[in-house]
Amino acid sequence: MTDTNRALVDLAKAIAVGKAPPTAELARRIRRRRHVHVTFTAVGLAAMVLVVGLLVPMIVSSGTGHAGKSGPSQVHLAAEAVALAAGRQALTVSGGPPVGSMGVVGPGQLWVLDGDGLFLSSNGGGRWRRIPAPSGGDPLADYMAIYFLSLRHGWVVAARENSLQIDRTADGGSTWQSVSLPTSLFPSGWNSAEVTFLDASHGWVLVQPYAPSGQPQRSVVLSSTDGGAHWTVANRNAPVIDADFSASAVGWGLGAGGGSLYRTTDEGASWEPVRLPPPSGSGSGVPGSWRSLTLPVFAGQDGVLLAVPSAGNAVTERTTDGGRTWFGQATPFVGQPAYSQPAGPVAGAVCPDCVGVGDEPFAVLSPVQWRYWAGGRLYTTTDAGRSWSSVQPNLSFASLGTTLGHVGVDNGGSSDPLQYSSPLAGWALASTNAANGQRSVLLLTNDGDTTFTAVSPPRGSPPISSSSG
Amino acid sequence: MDAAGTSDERTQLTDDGRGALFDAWYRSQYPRVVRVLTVVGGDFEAASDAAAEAFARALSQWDRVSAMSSPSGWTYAVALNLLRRRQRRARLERLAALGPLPPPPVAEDHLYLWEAVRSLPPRQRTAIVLHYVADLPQEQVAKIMGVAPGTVAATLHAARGKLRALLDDQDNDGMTTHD
Repeated sequence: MTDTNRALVDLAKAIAVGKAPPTAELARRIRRRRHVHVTFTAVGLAAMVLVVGLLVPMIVSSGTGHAGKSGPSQVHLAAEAVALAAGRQALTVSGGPPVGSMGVVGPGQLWVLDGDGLFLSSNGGGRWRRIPAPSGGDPLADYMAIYFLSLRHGWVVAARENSLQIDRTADGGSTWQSVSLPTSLFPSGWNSAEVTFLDASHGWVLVQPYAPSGQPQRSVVLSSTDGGAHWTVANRNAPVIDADFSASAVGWGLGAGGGSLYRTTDEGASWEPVRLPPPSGSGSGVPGSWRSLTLPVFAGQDGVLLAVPSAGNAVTERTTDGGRTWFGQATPFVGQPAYSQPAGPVAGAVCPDCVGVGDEPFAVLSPVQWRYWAGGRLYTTTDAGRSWSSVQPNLSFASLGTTLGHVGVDNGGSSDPLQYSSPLAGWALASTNAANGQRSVLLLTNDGDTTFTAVSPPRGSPPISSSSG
Repeated sequence: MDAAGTSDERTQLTDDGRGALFDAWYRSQYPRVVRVLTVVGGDFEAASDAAAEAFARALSQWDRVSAMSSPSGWTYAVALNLLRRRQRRARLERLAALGPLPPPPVAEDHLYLWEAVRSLPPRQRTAIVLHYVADLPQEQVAKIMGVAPGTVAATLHAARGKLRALLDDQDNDGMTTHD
C-alpha cells in the first residue's frame, strides 16, 4: 500500500464512530418507517382509497386549499396505499444497466447515460446507438454534465486527469472536439458542473468550485458564442448553482440553497435576485423564502416554474412578459416536511418517496400543459393549473419501492426525472430497489402516462463506428 | 483489514443461520460503513443516519440480503444512495439558511488529509474510499457505483494522482511553514 493509500485509511480510522446502534433501534426504524407511511396517507387516504381505480381521470380543484367535490385538494404521498388499493398489475423491471441521466431533445429523440456509456435513440428508445467516448477515453470516467440540443449537437463537461474539459460534437457523437479549462479557475478542485446551450452557438457552463467549510456554494460562469470552441469567463463568483437561458442574453439561475431565483440580462456576467410573488398566505416571496424552485421553462414570452414554499402547497409561478413580472398560483400538491432535523426523531428521514425539495417531478409541455408526479399518480393540467386530472400508471411502489426522482448513480449529473415530447409520449427515470442496491431505469409511455415500459439500452451494445454516424 | 462484501462473508452468513448472524455482521460492518460515508459525504451525523437506515433496510429483508453474494456491497450501495439524496436536501436547506457546514470529524492533525480528500471530485472520492477504506475490489466498487470496472480503474488512477499531488503540496507547505 502506498503512502497515499495508507493516509486515506488512517484518515478513516481517525473518525470516531462509537458503538453501532442496538439492533432493536434498527427494528424501531423499520416500524417508524411504516408508521410514517401511514401518517402520510392518513390525511388523504380515506378519500383516495375510495376513488382509486374508480375515478380515472380524477379531477382535482386547485388553488383553494380546501377539498373539492371531485377529489382531494391536498395530494400527499400515499404511494404504497395507492398501489395496493388499485390492485393493478405492477410493472416489474429486470435486466439492463442502471440509467444515470437522460434528456429528451425532440419527438422520439433522446439521449441516455447509463452504466455502459452514452446512447442516442431516434425512435423513442426502441433502438439505441452507443456513441464513442469523447477523447477516446471511458465515457463514464468523469462525466459531470451533459447537454444535447438535438441528436447532432451535444456537449459534455468531464473531469479528466485533474482538469476540466468541455467536449462538443456536431455529428451525433461520431466525432468530438475538446477544450480544457484553465485549472487556475478552480485551484481547490470542483464539486459539480452544469452545461446548457440556447442554440448551436450560444452556450454556458457553470462550475461549482470546491467551497471551504462554511462558505455557500457559488459558480464560475463561462460562456461561448461559437458552439463551445472558445469559452470566456463571464463571472468568477456568481451566486447561482444552476442556470438556463431563454434568450441570448437573458438567463435564469437558482441560488445556492435552491430556493432563490436570479436573472441575468448580460449573458451571465451579473445576476440579480427575482422576486416571485406568492399566492396569499404561502410565504413572503422574497428570495430565499422558498424551499426549492425549478428553473423556469420558456416558450417565447411565456414561462413557468414550480416553487415549493417552506410550508403549504406548492405554487406555480408564471410570466407572460418574458419574466419581467410573475404571478403565483397554488397547486393541490403539498411539499414534504424538511428533511434535516437537528435532534430527536427525524420526521422526514424515512421518506423514500419525497418530492418537493430539489427533485421536483414537474414537466412543462407547453405554457399551459404541465405534468406533476405525486402520491403514485401523474397529474395533468391543460389550463395552466386551474384544474388537474390524474392517471395512475402501472408502476408499483409497494413492491419495488419505485420513486421518481434523483437517479441512483452520479454519472452526468442529475436530469429532470419526467420529460415529454408530446402529451402522449414521455419518459421517466425511476429508481427501484434491486438486489445490488437502488438502481434507476428509464421508462417510456406512449399513452399519456397510463402504461409505462422499460426502455433501457441493452448492456454491451457496441459503439457505433466513426463512419456510421 | 477485514474482508467486506466477499463470498466468505456470504458463506459465513448462510452456514450459521441468517437471522442469528445479522447482529454480528452488522456490528462488524457498521463502523466501516459510517467511516466510508463520512469521508464521502463530509458529514458524520448524516453518514451515521444513512448507515443506520441502510442496515435497518437490510434487517427488514434479511433473508434476501443475506443470500446475496455481497450483503455489504448491497448495504454500501443503499447507504450511499440514501446519503446522496439526504445530503442534497440538507445542503439545500443549510445553504438557504447560510448555516455552517458540519465540522470535520477528525482531530487537527488529520485536517490536512481531510481537506485533501474532500477536495477530490465526488466520484473520485467515492471510488477511492470504497476501494481503500471499505477494502472492496474494483469489480465491487463498479457495481456499487453503477459503472464499468474499467471506469473504476481510471477513476482510482486519477484520484490517486490528485491526492498524491495534494498531499505533496501539503508536505511542502508544512516544511516551509515550520522551517
